[in-house]
Amino acid sequence: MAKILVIDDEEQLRDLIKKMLTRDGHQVLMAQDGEEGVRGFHQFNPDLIITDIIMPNKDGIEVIMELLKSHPDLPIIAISGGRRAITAGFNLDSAEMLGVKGILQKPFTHQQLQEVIQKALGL
Amino acid sequence: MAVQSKNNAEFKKSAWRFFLISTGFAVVLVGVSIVFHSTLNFRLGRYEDALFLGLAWGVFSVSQWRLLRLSQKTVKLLPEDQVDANNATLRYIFNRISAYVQDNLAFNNKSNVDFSAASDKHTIALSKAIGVLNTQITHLTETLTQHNGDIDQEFHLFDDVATQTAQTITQYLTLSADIDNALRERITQIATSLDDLKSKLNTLNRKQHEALPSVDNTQNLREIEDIVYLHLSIDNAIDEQLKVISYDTHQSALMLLDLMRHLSDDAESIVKYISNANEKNISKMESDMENSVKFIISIEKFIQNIQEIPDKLRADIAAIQSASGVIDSLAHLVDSIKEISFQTDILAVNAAIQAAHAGEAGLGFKIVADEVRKLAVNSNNAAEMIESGLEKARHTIQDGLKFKFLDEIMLQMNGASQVMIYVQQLQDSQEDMQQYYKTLFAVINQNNTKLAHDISEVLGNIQYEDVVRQRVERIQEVMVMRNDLLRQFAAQLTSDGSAEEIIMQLNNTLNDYLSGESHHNNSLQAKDDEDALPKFELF
Repeated sequence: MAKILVIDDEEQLRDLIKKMLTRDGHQVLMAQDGEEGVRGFHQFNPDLIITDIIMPNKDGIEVIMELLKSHPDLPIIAISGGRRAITAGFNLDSAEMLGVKGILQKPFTHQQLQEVIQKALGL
Repeated sequence: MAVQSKNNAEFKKSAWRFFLISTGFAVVLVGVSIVFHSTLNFRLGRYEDALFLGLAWGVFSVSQWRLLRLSQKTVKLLPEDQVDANNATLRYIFNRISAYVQDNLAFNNKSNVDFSAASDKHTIALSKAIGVLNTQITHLTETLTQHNGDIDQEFHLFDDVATQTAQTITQYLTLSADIDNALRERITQIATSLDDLKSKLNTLNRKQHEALPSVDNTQNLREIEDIVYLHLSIDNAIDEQLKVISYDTHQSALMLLDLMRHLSDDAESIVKYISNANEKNISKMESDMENSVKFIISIEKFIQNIQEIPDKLRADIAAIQSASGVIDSLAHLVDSIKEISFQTDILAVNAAIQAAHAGEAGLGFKIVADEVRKLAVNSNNAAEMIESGLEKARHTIQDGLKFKFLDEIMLQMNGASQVMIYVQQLQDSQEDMQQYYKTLFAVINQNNTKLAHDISEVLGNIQYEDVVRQRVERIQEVMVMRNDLLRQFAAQLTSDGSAEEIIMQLNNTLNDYLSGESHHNNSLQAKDDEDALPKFELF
């Protein structure tokens, strides 16, 4: 089971993802914005990162670029969508261009999350 | 050239055949000699024969081998235009060598029989004599150790036997000396034959080299050998470099293809990405912007309405005031009418009283007075009705104005409550736009960096092609120098000059080339170790 860092500014979604991952036996760490996420990565060295794109302080694109620059093989899953994301598809395309291992458009099911995590971890 | 190669091959083949036959014969000869001698139980001399024969064979073989080497070199270095003539000469040389070998073989066969016969006779006699002596020594030893016989007699017997044995040994030694002499003679003959052959060869070589310099043959051959060696060394060095260049070029081409494929993929990805971003997201953003513009127009209208309110209010108030003024002035007129009606009524009453006093004469006047009074009353009634109507009109105007104003206010208040929603939507749209462009620029920037990296890799490889060109140029240079030196040497062959200077220059050319290449050899490997950024260093 993997150590997973979830970065999302929406608390409800964060909690939902945590519940899903915990049920699957993963160890879950949570951050509420990009800056906290990057700090969390350096502190806990997780196996996988799930990050939202549109966030305050440091957005998901910046997080992906920063972490992949220093850790090119780090598995990252980008998630986007929800209330304000009229460009969710574009954001996920962008994340994919930057080299993330998986993308997921909100809202998503538990099964979709499991599949994309397995693919990202190469299981 | 092909003819020369063919002739060389044929020559080599026949030379080797000859060499192997003669060597084989010599081996058989020595073997037969050893086998023959070893059949006798005779220690002294049996290896000497073999030794002599071996020595003879060795000298013979070495001389043959040397001749073969010299002949091969001679053939190799002949100018192309003399190939046929020289091949004929060489055939002649080898015919001579063949004849010499046949002579040698005949001599060997003959002398070998003589050796064997002489050797057999004397070695048997010697063997017998030594056998008798040996028996006598044994007998004498037994007599001495056991003291069972006449010792003096035994000593005499021993002395006789020893004397006989000594004589046999002397005879054998004489024979050995004869054999030795025969061998010496044979060796001398071989040496003479060799000298003869050498002399013939020298003569032939001189004939062969009539068109070539009449320099000392050994020195000439040694120089030719050195030059050929250097020539081959340069060819080997060039060949090594060509192999490296070929391998490196192949690797570079593969790498270039791989890089171009990456570059193409990256470029295709970014084009697809931008195209998608334009098609899907820009239309969304445009629609969003359109909505935002509509919101802005709505807000503008609302602001205009707010600005319009005081003017409208003022106009409304002025209209009300004006209407009220008109109504008031009309009210005054009504009062005037009422006053006129009242005065008319009093006048009519007075006229009626005066008409009654006049009696019959005033009867008609009384009728007029009554009618005037009725008119006054009617006028008053009419004035009251006008007054009532004006009052109603004033109320109606005021009420109407009041309701219209409130509706406007209500409408405008509703618009104001919408403004907050519009502003929020506009702000969201703006944030989305900002995020969109920020992301777009970040991704394009990242991809451009990747493309720049790919392009620099390609440039690096293209630069490598320049390195290959320079390597080939260096090869061309060394070949030109080498050929120049070889031409000089060819020219010098017709004169008596030494090729020492040319050999030195050729050696320097080789060393300079090897030294130069050692600085550039690992350019591809060095490039791998470095960062991918192109280095436009000239090699």
